[in-house]
Amino acid sequence: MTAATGAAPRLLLALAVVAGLAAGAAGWYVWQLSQPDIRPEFSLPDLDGQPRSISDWDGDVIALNFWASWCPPCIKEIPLFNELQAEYGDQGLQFVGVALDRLENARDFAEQLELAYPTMQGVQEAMTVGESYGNADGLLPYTVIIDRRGRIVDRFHGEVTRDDIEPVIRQLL
Amino acid sequence: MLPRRLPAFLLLCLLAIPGLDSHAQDAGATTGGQERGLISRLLGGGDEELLPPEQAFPTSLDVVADDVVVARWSTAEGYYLYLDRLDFAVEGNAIEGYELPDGRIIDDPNFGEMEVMYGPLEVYLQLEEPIADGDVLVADYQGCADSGLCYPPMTARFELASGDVESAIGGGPPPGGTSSTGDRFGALLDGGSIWTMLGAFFVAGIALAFTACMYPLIPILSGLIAGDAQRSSGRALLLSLVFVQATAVTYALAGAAAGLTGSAIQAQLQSPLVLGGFAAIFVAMALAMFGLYNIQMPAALQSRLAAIGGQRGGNLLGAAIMGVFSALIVGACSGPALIAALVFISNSGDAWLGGAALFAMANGMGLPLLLVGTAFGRWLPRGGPWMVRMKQAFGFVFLGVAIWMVARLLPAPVELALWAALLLGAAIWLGFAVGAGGTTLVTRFRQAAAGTAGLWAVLMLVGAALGGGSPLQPLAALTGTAGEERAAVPWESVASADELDDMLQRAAASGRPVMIDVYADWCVYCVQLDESTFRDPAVLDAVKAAIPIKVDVTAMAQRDRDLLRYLDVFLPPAVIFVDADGVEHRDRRVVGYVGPDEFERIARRALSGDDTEQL
Repeated sequence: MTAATGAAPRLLLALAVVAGLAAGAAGWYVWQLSQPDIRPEFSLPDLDGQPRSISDWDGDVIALNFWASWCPPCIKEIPLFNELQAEYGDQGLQFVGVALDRLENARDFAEQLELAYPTMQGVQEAMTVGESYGNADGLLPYTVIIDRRGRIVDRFHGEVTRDDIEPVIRQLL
Repeated sequence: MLPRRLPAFLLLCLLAIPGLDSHAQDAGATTGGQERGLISRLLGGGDEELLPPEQAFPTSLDVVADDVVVARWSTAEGYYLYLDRLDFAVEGNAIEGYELPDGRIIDDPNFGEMEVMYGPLEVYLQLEEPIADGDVLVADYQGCADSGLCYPPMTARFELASGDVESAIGGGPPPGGTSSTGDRFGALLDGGSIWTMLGAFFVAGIALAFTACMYPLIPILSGLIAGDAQRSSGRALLLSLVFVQATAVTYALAGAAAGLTGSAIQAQLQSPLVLGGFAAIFVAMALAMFGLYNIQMPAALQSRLAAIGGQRGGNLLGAAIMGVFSALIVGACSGPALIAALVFISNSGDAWLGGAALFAMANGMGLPLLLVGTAFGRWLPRGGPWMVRMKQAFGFVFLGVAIWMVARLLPAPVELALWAALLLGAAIWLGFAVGAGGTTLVTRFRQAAAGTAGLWAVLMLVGAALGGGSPLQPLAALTGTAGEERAAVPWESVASADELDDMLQRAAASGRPVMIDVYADWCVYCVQLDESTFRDPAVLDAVKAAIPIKVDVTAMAQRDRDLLRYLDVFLPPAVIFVDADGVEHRDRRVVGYVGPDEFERIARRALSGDDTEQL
């Protein structure tokens, strides 16, 4: 029995080390996930065909909204964004749209909705941008909040309400 | 006492892992882009979980007349399609008209009244001319989820003549991970919670553990435990754990490599050189078990290991190495779960998820081993003459493993002769060398067993000399029963991918379906299929309309690799059905061993060609 009693504590120690390493790795991974990401750089043409870059608005709190004319919930939330832009614009809030849409469709809807902020536009390129911002399947609407230091602090999949988004924005201003 | 608590401790560790889920959920909301695929799977049943587009809006097509087709969407619950966004066109033909069913009207302040469709949708399309080769129906559709998210416009393309379908999103390339295997494992990998997926692969592994392919691992592990210098249940558990984890990691890595490169390393390793070398290792280990010498590692390595992990490092390393080789060489077994994971990896490039699935599967395969190994370690005598005999017994077992390994390369009578020699040796050992001890009754019994075994071994030798091959019916050659072969499938063999391509084209031209069996002598399940399934009268009847072609890749030469690549097969066995139009029914592929009843069912459906709804 000496072998058995001698082996057990060491075995337990080995298992504890393995469990500890696993827990450590999992903890690190979770911590890593909770760290804000720096927003990826990109540029796309706006509705007048002028190239715009996300870095044009560095220093502002950016609400980057991916939308499209084919997406009813996207269209529904845009009036809210217009209001928020008017209320907080002078404190440094900047809404920026990215339309996953054909130019003429995006332009028609921007006019119809009296879009109060700049929007960029593209089909495949805009999809790629969405992907780099964490929206792999191109599901819309999708809204990303970026703080003044360029860190992504929040993401909204789906239509947002004032209650969802206003506290996040106020905290950053 | 402690070792008894260990399993509970391990179980606790395993149970603690899903607990991470809740933390991951908070973190997942703010996670980076590339990880989203995996993370959203990690979130499992979270509210945010959305189906990939091809699962939210599965599309299919039926040809109901020579100029009428019906496009179907089996939209998942909680999702809907916009009827006014549906658009159809036919390349090479034209649409005379189609009618949409009435949907639900929703009033949108910006769009006005919109008609949406929940649940299944069927659209009958009347074409202007009868369908001809090359006609492609292009269907544009777009939909949203009730949770307020919308999918980008999607396009599905149906080859009307062949019934093939491919779908694309936003005009881009087809989405990754659209597994064409269509089986439940592929579906699990493509979507659904990662825990469900890992659990399913784990269970699939457990099922695989009780098949012929995994049997040799039991004596290998038991022998490792018996040959180990230290002895306790905890120690046996640790050795088993190291062995099983080594096989699991090997499976995951080899699987990821196979998925990414398209060829399985297990198949490459089935060469006479590798198998012979591995068999030689077992012979050497058997001799060590007989006490002819002690296997010692080089002193420098030994002392270094001793410094790291106590003196036991050596045998643990041995167990790990045996685990790696066992996974690669002994357990080179195909199976639906393995193939689904490999296909998923090669389609999506997601080696992590596919590797995790294989890791889970290999752990399932290892679970019975873990139990057997631990129980064995507990039951094993701690020392003394009994222990010596036990080691010697495992010497014979190791020799058996060595024979099993090279048997696939040898003619049947030679194999039978080897088994006979082994049995004879064991009988002599049992009768004389074990020595005195025990009551007279035990001694008598032992001698009787030894005598019977010895007699049978002699019969086997005679059988081998007569050209027989079955250890259970060594004299079948004498009685003539071996001559009465049951009817088998009249296979045509094929030498190269070009030749196979040629045969398939001729079969399609003459309107005959084809059944291709990818086979190798070293593939346990292939041999099983050959000996039971392909000899069943019902199966023979089910496949009689098809041209049977056997692709033998035993040698794994370049032409065999080309054939595997041509057929898109990682590991044999694979039975592939090609219908009369020359189209393969990929979701009807048989990978792994399937019994006669199920095979007959699969073959009838695959060859009858009436499964167009299975697109």
